[in-house]
Amino acid sequence: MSLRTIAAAAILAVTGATAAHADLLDDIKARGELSCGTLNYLPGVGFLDDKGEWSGYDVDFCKAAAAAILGDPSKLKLVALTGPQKFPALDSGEIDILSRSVTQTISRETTLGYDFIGPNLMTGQGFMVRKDSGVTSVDDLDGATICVLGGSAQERYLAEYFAYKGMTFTPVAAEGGDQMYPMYFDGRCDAVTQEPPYMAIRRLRSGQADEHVILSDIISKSYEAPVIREGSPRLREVLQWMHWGMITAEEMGITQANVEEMAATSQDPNVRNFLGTDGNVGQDMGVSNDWMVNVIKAVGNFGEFFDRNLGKNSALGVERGMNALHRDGGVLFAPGWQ
Amino acid sequence: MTDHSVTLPPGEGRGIKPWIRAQMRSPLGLVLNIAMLALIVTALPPLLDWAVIRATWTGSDMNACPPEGGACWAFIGAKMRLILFGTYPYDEHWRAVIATLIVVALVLASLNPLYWTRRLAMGWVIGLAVYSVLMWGGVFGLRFVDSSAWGGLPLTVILTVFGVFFGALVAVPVALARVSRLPVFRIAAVIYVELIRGVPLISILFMASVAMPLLLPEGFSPSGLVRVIIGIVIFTAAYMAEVLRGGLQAVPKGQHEAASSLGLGYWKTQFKVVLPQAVELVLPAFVSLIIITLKGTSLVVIVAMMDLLGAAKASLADPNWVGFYVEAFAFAGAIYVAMCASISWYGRRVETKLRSTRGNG
Amino acid sequence: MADLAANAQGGARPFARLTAALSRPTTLAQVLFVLGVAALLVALTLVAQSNLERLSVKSGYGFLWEKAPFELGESLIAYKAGDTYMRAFAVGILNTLKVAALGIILSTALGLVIALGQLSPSSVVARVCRLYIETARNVPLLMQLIFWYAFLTASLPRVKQALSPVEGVYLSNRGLFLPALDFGGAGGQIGLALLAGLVMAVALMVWKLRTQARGNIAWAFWGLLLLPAIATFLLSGATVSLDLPELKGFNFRGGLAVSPEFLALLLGLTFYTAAFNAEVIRGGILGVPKGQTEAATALGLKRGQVMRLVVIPQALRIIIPPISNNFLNLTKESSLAVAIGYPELVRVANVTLAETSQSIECISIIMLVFLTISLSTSLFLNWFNARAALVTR
Repeated sequence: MSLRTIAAAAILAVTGATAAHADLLDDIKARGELSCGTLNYLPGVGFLDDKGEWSGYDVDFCKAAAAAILGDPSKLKLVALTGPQKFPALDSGEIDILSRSVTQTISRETTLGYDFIGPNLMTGQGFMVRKDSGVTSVDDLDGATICVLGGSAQERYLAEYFAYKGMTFTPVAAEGGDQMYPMYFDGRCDAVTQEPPYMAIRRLRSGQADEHVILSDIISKSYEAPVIREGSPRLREVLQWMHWGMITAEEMGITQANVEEMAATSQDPNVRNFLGTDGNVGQDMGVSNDWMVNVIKAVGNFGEFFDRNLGKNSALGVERGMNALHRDGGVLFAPGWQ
Repeated sequence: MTDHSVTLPPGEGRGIKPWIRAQMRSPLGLVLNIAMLALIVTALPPLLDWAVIRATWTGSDMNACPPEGGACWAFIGAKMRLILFGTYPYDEHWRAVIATLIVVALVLASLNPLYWTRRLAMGWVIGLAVYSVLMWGGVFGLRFVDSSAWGGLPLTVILTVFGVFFGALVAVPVALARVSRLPVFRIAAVIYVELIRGVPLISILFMASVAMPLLLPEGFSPSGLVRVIIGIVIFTAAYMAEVLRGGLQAVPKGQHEAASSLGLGYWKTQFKVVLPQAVELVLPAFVSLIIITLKGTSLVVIVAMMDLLGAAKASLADPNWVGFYVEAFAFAGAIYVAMCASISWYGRRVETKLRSTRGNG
Repeated sequence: MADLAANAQGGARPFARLTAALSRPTTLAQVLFVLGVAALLVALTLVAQSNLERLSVKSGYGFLWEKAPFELGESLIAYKAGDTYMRAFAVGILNTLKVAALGIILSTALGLVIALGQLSPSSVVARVCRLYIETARNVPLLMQLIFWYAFLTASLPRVKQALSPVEGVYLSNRGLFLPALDFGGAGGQIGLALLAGLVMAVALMVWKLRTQARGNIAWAFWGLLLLPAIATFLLSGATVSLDLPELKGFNFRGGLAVSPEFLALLLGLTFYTAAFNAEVIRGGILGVPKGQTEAATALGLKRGQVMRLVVIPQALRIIIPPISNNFLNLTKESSLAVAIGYPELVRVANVTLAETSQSIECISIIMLVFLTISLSTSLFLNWFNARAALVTR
């Protein structure tokens, strides 16, 4: 009896689920909890410490999203994922948002069926080598042994770039950064390839920072962005505008410390509209009107969000660079909030 | 097992003298003994020097351990809680300790057929309930801990225990089907057992953690921990069924005949007469399967879970403590060896006791 | 009884026969079971299909003919990024077989040494061997692999300071570099000929074991093993030269390169499996009844002859089934190399999965390959056991 009942139930559930397939935004609100996939081993990006506390840039995006949708950054379930697990977890609905330093590419967006938010970190794929190797450009690396993260987009770009230049290399595919960087620093590889901020983090932590140089060449642009599955336009809107909202808050000088006061006392119509003191922007999107207040209370504006995890207020000290506001020489510029 | 090396003539007492005399009888043995002892004498001092004499026992970061010094046990001191408990919240470790001890006690009791009573079944029900309350919390003022934060030794133990427990539950019907007269059940059991035994555990864990959600309706997918346990159960059950089949076939035909002449039906014959004898017969093989499962749980590292091995790896990621992999793996490895050795010791003890109680052997 | 009755009237009234058969609870249970399994399979397929459609993920094995955009560190056949996924999988399977073959040979040799050590008249040696077995088989293999990999990459010198015990041999954390024989272009053909020779030589040994034919087959064995390779070499007119590794640019060039990933995997598999093999071999030797050796000695056979003609053939019959099980386990466990980046089958499947998102297909390929290896080995073993048993009974 049991097998057949289960089968019947399964078929019913499938047909039912397909028929009444709703926007994920409503599912998350009904569930009262946001499920977010991230990584747990890289301090500053996604890290679960030995007290069981989560922190990092990618983790904070999840907290901000929970604050935006549910009004509370703690209504969040974080799931640690390995490289090969990240897309299947999103595909299966185990997680709602994948915030794990995923690189946005056209094939991932169009043929694999994902929607990218942001991007929230713009860098590129670079190389780090030993100073005494005499290497000054990527094109000097013909015949080198190169450490790369197995199953990452960088593994693909690396192979394509070297093939295009007619050069050869031997890849050493590591299972994660914690395996890859010690191998590089011990001399298993001549070069290591990843985004420069991450290489800078590792170089700083290696205790031999002045023996290594990060080449200025960038072989591919790297747009790192949180990802959701296609088919939930309203969730995508909320997350995309949340990202732009954090940039807008920095432009307007709204910070974690002053956001409540600004919402209550500011007479600037743009600020009042942005923070939901006036108007109905939030409710029209399917969240509360003060949603940006919740987001900024949870993680701060974009500048605070960046500096706390990666930038000048963190141990890593990564430069804002491209990830600064346009008026400060970066490329961040948000659409208007009218 | 017979020991070829030392054969004490009867009457000669124990002690070092008769042993030496026995060694003297074989010239080859004497030469080998001296060579081996010489090897040990040359290898031991440097090892002791590294592990004890020049070792650093206390310190708050890697500066306490000079590179030219010996082992850095201060690292283990600093990382002990992380290696043992993974990312289970620091202040709640006592809960994990009690919960794990309860389950271990239940398992030890269950390995002895003399304790197989209704009370033990009750013990399991209550024990698992207490276990769940302690581990998850969320009630009685205990803080809620999501299963994704479970880690370290408690995770290793629970994966093993659940893998073996549910594996055994699945293995019984599969083994019965395997020796059944009914061709459909027999063939199905053969396919299941051979299929699972033919593929590596890691592929089953991948299937469970990566592909299983795609095979289930949206929203029906269980949590990562449950999926991994399902994978381990599917794997362990196949091996247990094969072992149990050996036991079932070793139970004398007369037992079946006697049972059916008493008017017992198929199920009563199996569960009251045949299975208990079969399980006793395969207890040693069963104990080695527990050890295999215990070691196999270390593979969950590959699907991003932090068991004992995963936590040992994680302890190496601290920038304040770089390069103490020998110490970390020696510590975690010693725990694995101790667990495996005590399981097999306990298994042998139960076997001996059983033999003396049953009065055959 | 019911069967006979139903059969008697069967031909004329098939429906009655069917109902009669179904009325037996055992038949009914089997039919229901088959239906249940079929329904479950259909449900799983439907669910998977609808899930994949919803996610707009492609399904099927068509991707195998597409270009694989990644490099693999080492390969027995020519492979570069841009070749098909099919070829990448072939590289992975060959790398799995390579490490399994070497691991089987080395773990058997080490296992034999440890088994003999345990049986040796020296109780100190026996105890050390016992200690080795208890430690090596109780530490999870994955931990041993990670340890060996960390050891090789962190403790060996950098490539510029490579250890060189003998001219032409270099050991560094880039791996082991050995001199190699260079046959011009004919290396592949000679290798194949050597493999063919090996198959023939093993077949000869099996035949000898089976028929217990008299006479010394040593010459025939080595002849069969080496002649095809030598003939191929002479016929191809290739020249032979010694290819020494040399430090050029970033790394050693030329010679035979053994990567640390491969070395770590081989060391881990060998040390782990040797402990299990030692137990099997010891059991096999102890399993030969004492009367056999005593009888052989009484017949006037010398010690060596007793071993070669009486003990080993009988011990082998006991050893072969369990040790081949160990070999299969070693082959399956080589899949753990994914944790240390050796490009065997599972690692190739993992990268492919990351590129294509086709998880079910990739995992099913892993399972199919290992299943094929396991089933063909057990078929061969059944055949072998049947042959080996024929002579004795």
